[in-house]
Amino acid sequence: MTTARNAGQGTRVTEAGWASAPVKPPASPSDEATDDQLRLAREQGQAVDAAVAWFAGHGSMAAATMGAGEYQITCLLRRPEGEWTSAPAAAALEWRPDAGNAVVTVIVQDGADRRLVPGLDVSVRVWDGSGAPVAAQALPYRWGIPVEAYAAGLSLPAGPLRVRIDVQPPAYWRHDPFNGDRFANPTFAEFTGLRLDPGQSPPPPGDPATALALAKGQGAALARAYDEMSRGVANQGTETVVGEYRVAYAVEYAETFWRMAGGNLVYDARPEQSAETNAHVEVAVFDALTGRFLPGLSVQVSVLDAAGRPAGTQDVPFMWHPWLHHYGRNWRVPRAGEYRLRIHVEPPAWARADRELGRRFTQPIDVVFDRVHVFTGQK
Amino acid sequence: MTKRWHRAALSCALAVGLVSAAPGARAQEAQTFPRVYQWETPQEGWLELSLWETFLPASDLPYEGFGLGVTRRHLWAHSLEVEYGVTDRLALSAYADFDDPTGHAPAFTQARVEARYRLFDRYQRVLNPALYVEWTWPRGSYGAPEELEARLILERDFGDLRVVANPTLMRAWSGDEAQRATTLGLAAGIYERRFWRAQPGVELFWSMGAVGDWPPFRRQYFLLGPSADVNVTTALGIHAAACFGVTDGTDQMMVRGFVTYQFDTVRPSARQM
Repeated sequence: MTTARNAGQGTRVTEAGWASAPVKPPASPSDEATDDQLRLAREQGQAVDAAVAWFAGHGSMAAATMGAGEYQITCLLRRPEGEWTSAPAAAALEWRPDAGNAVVTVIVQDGADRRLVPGLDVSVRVWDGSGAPVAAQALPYRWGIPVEAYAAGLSLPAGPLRVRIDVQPPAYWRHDPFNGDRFANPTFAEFTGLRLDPGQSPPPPGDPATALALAKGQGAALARAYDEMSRGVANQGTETVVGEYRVAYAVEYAETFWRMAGGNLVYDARPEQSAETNAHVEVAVFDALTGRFLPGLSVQVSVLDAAGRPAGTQDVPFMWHPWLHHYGRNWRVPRAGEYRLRIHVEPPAWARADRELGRRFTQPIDVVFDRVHVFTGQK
Repeated sequence: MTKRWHRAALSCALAVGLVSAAPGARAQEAQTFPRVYQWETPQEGWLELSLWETFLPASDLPYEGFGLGVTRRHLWAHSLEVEYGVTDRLALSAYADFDDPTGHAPAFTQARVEARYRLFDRYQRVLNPALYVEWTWPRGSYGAPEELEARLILERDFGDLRVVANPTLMRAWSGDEAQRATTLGLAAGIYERRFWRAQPGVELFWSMGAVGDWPPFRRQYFLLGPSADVNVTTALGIHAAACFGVTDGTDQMMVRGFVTYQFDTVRPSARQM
């Protein structure tokens, strides 16, 4: 019998190579996700699917996709371009050309709803046609249009290649007692059919306007999910645009969640076992241009009561959610009532692809939401 | 699915209402494993194992099992419970009860099965309601009737304080006519939940007697005393309480508690692709 615990063990030969045995992550109605809300997640995934398909067909020298563990992993070999990265000891970004002759670009989607899976530790190893290792390195997260990926420039030989992608279980918290039980196992996908041909000229990268429209399509799907969260689920929530960001908050009752502990995914029931925390503060930061969620940010929230007295300042980490990823944590406020939320967001450390549109998110921002009514209790 | 369970729960409540209309008179039994049930049930697929212990340092009430002519003083009782979350709202439990009375070897006394169903989500109503039904099958030589017990679980949080009340109806389904009365009871508690590690409380257990044939209060069963819930880990919890009888119809003192261990998810799945 396959259970939530042993699912994903073993390996399986796939159309594109072999991989951790593909399994479908849980995607059923639960305390935190109705059928309609899970449909909102699948809409986000469909928008990602469209962007990935277009991206693979424009500017990629080789492309393959396979199910691996609880993920859908796409591996692209793309021509080198470059990325905007933070210059040492400077607030500005600088454009750095990619190293090598190919950019290994890996897109990791949720195997159930096809949304992008952020915050992963992804690495690549490459062997040439004779089986000799030619490259091994981490693939950092890279923001891009039309889709975000894990990517790095490598020097690869011509001919057939064996490309192995390893994905470590993310350490972040997961909402949802049922659907949050996912991404607990290390996963690999080994692509055996990729090749770089000498003198190959890659297909053109495609129309930038189409790429931007595909990115905005993902943002539009996400906006529908945020609308559902702020109007239909949270006790209170709204959003505002600040520079290149759209910042939203939602406050709810304290919630249970899954967390990694000692290499295992465990369900932390403390929030429902006591009133030690009595509220849940959520912050979502979107790219104002495309509407897509921005992962990997450093977000800090301060809560002040109506008289200006502080009710805590805390780092608010990324939390996986069955239909709306966000930054969030449980909170303790002295009593139910109106509070002020002060949100501070540091500019991201990750690289940005796209020379035209990627030079963004360079400044920290501070946002204040007044008259936020916090109801206390446990969900 | 949810609507079907709601209908089943309401049907159950109606059945309990009919049961309560049955006439009769029956001496109120003393309680051995009293508990205030809270609204929360295990999530779907969660399995919990509990060991209950009750000790009566002082009691003048007669021990009615096995035809022994002794009192409940120094009775030690044990119960093993397995509870499983069938859905996020419905939990099923099975119990095996054992008594160790004065003048008798420790012995199995009865088996119980229980269903708890929680209605709505928390805070959707003024009170968080849940339904509870329990059936008891005693061992033949124990000499007790089969019983049906139904509770309405009502809960509300006031800041860090949780107030819980379980109005209870109980009826015997075997034994002589005198035993087949419907009795009314109440289990209730107030718990201070500010801290996760330890949560003090006060609990009362009141059996008022047969509906329509109430004995005087001094002959009713009325236990009152402090309790503490200690969370050792998120999976391991202890509930301990000392209760004191305030009427002649009550054990003078009861020390009781249970240890609960919540196992990891036991959730069959066919999601291998």
